[in-house]
Amino acid sequence: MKKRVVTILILVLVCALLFAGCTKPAEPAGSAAPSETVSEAAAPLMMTITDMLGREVTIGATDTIVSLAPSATEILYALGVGGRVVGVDVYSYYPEETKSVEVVGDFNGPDVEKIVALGPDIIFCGNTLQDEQIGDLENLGMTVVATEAVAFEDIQKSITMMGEILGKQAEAQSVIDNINAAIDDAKQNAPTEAPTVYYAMSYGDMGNWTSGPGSFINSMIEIAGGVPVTRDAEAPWLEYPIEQLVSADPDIILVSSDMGSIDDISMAQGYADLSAVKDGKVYLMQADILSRPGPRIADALKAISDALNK
Amino acid sequence: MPKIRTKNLFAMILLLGAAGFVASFFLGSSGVSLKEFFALLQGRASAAQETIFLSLRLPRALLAYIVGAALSVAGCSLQGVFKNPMADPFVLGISSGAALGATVAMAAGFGLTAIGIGGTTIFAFVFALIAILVVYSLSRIRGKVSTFSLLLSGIALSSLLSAIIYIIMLVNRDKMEHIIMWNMGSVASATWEKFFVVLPVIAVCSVLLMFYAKPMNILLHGDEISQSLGVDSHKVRRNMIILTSLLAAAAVSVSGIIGFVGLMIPHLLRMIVGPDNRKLLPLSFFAGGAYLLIADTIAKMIVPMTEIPVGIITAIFGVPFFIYLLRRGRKAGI
Repeated sequence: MKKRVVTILILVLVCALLFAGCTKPAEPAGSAAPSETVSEAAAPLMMTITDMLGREVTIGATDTIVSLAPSATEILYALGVGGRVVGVDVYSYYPEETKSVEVVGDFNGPDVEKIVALGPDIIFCGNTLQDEQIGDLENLGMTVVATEAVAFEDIQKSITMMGEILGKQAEAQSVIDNINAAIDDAKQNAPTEAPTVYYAMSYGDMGNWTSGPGSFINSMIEIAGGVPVTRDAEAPWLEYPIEQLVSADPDIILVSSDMGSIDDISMAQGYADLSAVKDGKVYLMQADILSRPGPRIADALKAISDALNK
Repeated sequence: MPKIRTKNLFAMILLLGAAGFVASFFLGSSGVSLKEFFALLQGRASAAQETIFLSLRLPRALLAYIVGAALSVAGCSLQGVFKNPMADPFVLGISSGAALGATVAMAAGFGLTAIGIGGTTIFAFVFALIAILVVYSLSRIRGKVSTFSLLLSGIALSSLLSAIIYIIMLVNRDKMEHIIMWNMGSVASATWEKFFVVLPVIAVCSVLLMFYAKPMNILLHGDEISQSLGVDSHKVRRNMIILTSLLAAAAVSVSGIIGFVGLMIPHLLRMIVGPDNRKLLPLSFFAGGAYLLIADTIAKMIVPMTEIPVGIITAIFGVPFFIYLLRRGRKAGI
């Protein structure tokens, strides 16, 4: 009797931990952007910048870097300073080279002890890092710069800022040129009749979460010549009532790739009778590319533009 | 509390349910209403309007009703079984079992798939039943199950499961939002499939529980008197726990954790008609249904363009009203 109870308890625990362990983020596809060039640490000696949270930060050397946001990591590698990166957060698994970098932050936020041990010259963080955590790191003598953009327009701003900090203005410009080229292409290819578009971040039991005005996803849909059905919504991301979606009956539905297959969404509550589902105009978007305000936003824009023109 | 005849009360509750149904059917975020309904009757409605009425609002209203009814009957029964006013449908670890199931399904990405009812529902149902089995076998000592150890094991297991849920949530930050929303309870994702899957369970278990109304009344006098009156209290309790578990697990698997219905409705009725379970159980069924249906209509209308989980509404509107009645009842000596 007792044995049985203990076995049950252990089984429950083991199952739970297994599930917890199995659901790490998916492996990234494809390989890296430009590989590391010899870093000559050409950055100016001292400079003061205003970061993406509007904080004034004085920056000295930038020879060793810790990145706590996937978007910042992707920008660092795109600027060719991947070799200076000594620590990244667990979600920074693109490009391939990040695999060999020490992980210094996970779902619980930054691992302050590890970061202090690495003693980086500068830390780049996203906007999920709380003020308190930034304060903690600064109190330990670290230089922290918030780099993550919320609006589409700010993505280029954040890349420029990082280029300046790292003395890689030319590289930053070429990344931005690449994004601008994607914007131009998308605008040129805009369908003559603007289709209505809905982005399904989740659906069914997970709730109908989507992007709203002010999010870079809606901006990209607009640049590519579509009309987001959530354009009058009130928040940059929100749970959209299914009735609204059925009334709006969008021409095209974009769905996040980590939300199952097209078949799954087609069978979700309210979706079966939508025109986009009946006409086969539901397209999977690779979640990482779409959700990170970094260099690959150019790829995201191209993917959206392609979907709108299919 | 004014004296109300049971028959009149019954009619009132049915009427409330009907009113809730009409409101739920004609109100919704898309603004589709009476005019479109007449178009639908004449076969002139657009496909979108038809979907809104027949595939979204109708199953949602019906699901809200039977879930409310199930929670309320389960609460009423368990309060009788445990002779404890704090007992609700979730007291034996069903809610945290279901929540763990839903969390696992969502975190692992099983939450989406096929057959219309979704992995979340299936996982929640199965885990809820596993949880109650564990609680039951933990509290069985030398073949006997005491209500005392049942309650304690239920609470203990709930805490353990909640801790596991938090671990899974922390590791899957990106799914956290969905898991929290599920835990607040909602029937917004109702489908016909969900309704038809849980309807038989809820109907059969509720009807069977009605037959235990009389033994339940006798149980209130204590085990010894029950035994002498020929009621096998252990057997009655065991069977009732099985039935209420199925009932609560079915409800929770399609709606998440909607708190307070199972606690409030039976107590409210008890204040009005007294402790006779032969009246309480059927009244609980229809009152619980009406209450959740009305609460859900408020949930979908109160903030435009947003779904509020109905569990929040049942608490925000229900609790103050309930406390008011409780205090008034005390003063009147009930």
